[in-house]
Amino acid sequence: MSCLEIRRAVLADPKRICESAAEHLAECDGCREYVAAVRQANSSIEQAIRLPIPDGLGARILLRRSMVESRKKLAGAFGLAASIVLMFGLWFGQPGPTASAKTAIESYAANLIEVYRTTPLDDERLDAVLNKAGIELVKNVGVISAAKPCIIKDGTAAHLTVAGKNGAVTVIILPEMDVEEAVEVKTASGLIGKLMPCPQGSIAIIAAPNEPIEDVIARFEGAVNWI
Amino acid sequence: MWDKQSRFTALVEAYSADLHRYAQWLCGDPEVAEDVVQETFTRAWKSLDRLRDQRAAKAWLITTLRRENARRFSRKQLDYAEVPLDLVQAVTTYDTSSDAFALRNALAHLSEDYREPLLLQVIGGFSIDEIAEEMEITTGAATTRLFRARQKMKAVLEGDEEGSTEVTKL
Repeated sequence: MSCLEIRRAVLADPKRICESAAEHLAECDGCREYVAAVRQANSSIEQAIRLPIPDGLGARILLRRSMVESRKKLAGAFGLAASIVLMFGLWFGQPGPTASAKTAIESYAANLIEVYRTTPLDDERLDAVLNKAGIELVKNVGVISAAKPCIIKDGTAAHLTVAGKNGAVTVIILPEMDVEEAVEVKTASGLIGKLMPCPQGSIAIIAAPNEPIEDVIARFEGAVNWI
Repeated sequence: MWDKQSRFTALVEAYSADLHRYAQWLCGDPEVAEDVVQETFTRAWKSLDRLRDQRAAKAWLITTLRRENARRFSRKQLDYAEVPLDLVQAVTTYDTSSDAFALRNALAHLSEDYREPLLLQVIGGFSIDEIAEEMEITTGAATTRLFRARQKMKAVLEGDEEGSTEVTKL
């Protein structure tokens, strides 16, 4: 390595010196002095970057976690009471979480019109939408021709349009909407589909009645990673 | 084998301070930074089972924090602002050395493209390859950005104002 290369490398990363650079340094006084000066400057930079931390930060993070846990335990302790309330709720026609989620999806998709395209959406746009919903796709799910973020039941979701066998299929990934079991959905306009539980939240797949959505369900199985 | 709560507590104790520092440089506001760090740990709790290698924990948390910060911006539809001078001035209360002030000032005014690789390296302990991967740029671009960022900071320390103004966005 030349002196110039060494100096550039050490400015990029003063703490990691490669073997060939180390050999050069053993024989070059000028570069050794330069490296020493850069490391000293780097030490000052590290000190300057270390901004003060508010007192009790770690404790507040742990407190928030324990409060969430306490609420869950409290919910468990009052499980029986909650069950009774739920039974009363059901008795009086109040929907449970799955029924409520189904209604929300059917309402969202009521006037859905998807355009069938086989041209894939650019990755940047797709990533931006997925990121907004806090998810990523970890395997190929086929052509995704459109994507947009949406809000369903106050939760951010990713609305994707994918190419099915006969036409467009709507896939809505809802990280913040839990369902207890898979349910059929049917919109006012005649679209049909399924709303299914996921490791985190749920996923809805909706299409025209002649579309075999099982294919799309299989494509998305294990494809979503929650970040 | 640690239970989930113990692992989480260990992560908070080990990394919350550095995450907060990193978030402060990203957000420019200690209170907003704390919100971002809280959200980061909330997400970390949910995904903790997927963290197989504890040695990768810090990088994993910083990646989560960067996404959380990006999500915050996209939700609020705010512009990605420069780090405000308030931050630079606020921190002078704990270290009044002129070098530290000049360096923080220089860092606050560095382009985002140069500041973030430096923060990932200094606070996050990322290698150049990891910075390139995290920022979705080439290793060469990451090297150049780090080189120029540190060149500017070094020039500030040496009182070379001309050198300190040479860094422009690639």
